[in-house]
Amino acid sequence: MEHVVPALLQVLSPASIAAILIGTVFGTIVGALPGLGSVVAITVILPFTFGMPIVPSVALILAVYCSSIYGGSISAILINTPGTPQAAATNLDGYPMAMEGKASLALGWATAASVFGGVFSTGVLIVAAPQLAAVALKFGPVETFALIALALTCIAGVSRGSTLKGFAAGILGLFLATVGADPMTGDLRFEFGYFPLTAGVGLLPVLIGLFAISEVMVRVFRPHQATPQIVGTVGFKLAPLREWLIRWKSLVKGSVIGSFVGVLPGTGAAVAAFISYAEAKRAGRFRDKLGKGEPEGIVAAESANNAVSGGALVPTLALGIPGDAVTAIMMSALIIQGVQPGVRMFAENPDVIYAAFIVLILANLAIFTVGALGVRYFLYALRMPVPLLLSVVIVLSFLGAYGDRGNEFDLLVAFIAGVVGFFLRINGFPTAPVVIGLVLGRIFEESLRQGLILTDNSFQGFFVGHPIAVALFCVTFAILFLPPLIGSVRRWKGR
Amino acid sequence: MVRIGRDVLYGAVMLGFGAFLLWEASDPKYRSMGVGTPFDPVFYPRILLYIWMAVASAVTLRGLVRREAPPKETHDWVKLAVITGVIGAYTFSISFLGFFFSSVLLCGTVCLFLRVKQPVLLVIFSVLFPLATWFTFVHLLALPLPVSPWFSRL
Repeated sequence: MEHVVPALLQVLSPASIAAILIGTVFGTIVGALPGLGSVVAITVILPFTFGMPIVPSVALILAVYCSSIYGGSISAILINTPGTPQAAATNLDGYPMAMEGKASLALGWATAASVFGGVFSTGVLIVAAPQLAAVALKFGPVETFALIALALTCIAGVSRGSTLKGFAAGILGLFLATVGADPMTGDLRFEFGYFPLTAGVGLLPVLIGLFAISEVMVRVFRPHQATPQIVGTVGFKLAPLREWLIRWKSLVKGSVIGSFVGVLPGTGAAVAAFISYAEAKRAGRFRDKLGKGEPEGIVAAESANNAVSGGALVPTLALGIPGDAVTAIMMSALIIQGVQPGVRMFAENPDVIYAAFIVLILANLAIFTVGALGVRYFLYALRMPVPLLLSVVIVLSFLGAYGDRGNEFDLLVAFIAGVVGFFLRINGFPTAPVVIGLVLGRIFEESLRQGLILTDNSFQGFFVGHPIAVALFCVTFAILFLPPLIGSVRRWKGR
Repeated sequence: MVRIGRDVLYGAVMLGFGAFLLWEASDPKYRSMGVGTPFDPVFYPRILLYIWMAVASAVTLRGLVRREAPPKETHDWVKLAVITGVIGAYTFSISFLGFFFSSVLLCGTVCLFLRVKQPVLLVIFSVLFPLATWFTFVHLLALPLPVSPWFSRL
């Protein structure tokens, strides 16, 4: 409680409140624009946090994160094109409702379900993160190494595209983290006599290039999409309470599913939304009407995808291990502000942790206010000419790359990462594992080398006297080798 | 180019990249480093590179074995090349022209090339957006941005 009041005072400052409102409006708009999504939204807003104090900057980023997931539902309902992959399940019932002239009502269902899911998962975060951090305090270098190995395996293994390509992307990220000074001795590695490389490859330029610049290239490369046609008149209308009460199970189930899926590395809001939608289709009260404009489908999908936000922050804040690209970017934003997420953050920056919890609650409530008042105005954003949008993304992305260290070399890194990211994406290589590998690479190497010192330079020592690490290694090996083994057995049986 | 060719090509590039870095990691200069520690500084990167080579070989082999049909999509390589060139030019011009002027040029070029049909909108956007961004960063957030050789602040 001693940290709650100072955190609350910081969050209730005019700067933080303004950051929450601006972040919510911005995130909703970018989330609504088809193809951009949460990652680009946070990447583009990042340079604005460089000159801000820590709590307002955290408020801005968290507000953009939550609202960008919600924003995807607006275009899913109104133009039959989900703004983000997370909103694809919302599209299944949202657009048919809009076609029946109930667009305002569909938006009301989506907004309220999103807010419920977001607040619910914040509760999960508040309860789970300190517990997890307390457990993680017992982790030594061997356990940390095993945990990061497991997280990277999960992220690469369940990445979109092939598992093999996911692993390649993860290793690329881990390797990029080794460029520059050795963390133990300070000796220079892979700098090729080029001075700017002695400081290593900056995280921010790489992620800006991989996500934002490559997104611009992909949009230019792929065929032009026609200007979206918006269905019917649009406003915001909430359904009566009795309509909510008969669908409460899907609302709560969606929130639980979203919170749980969010904690798992490499999954994300789209997976949560579809699992929740499938559950509503299996056991929902209106399961026979799902897919034909039934609000229960919207409730299930939206509560789940927004509940991922709190769940995903549990391992990020408690262990310092981001589960996806969005949380990796948020983690890097915190690092830029001088706060290292992880176990020590709870001891060293409790005010920031509690401020983040309060901000998440307020940001979700702001979604309701902004959605209710602004949904008709967000439609203008959907009509924004694509070239203008791309120009904005390019300029703000390069500002982000430059602003972190004020280094012109980082602009070049962002450009190269953009080109590499483009080629990775068009051939089905996921880019999220690159960033997560880069974020975790240094800690991974340090924990490996410290672990080797503890075990007298013996890899076998990692498996003796470290039961937690052994359990984590077993899960890692199972994820690595079970799927191909099962596949081989099936093929052998099929002959 | 068919998809199978692409996977093989990507695998080959990955193998070449890995081989080059392994060659660099075998440089004798690294053996004299890491004094007082049991491993040289490229011990861990070398492990990563061996795994990388294994994964690259698997990608290449799978590309050779699997005969997948190429996806039926239309792509615009010319537009991509031009936009990549424009972004590349922007990357370098920021250092010489400063943030504001290079951003005006970038916005104007992108909008012209991607056929914004309203010239007034094009001009207003190309000037006002970089100006507003410059003002926000330099004056409101107090973050210095690269300046041009002609004006001390812009």
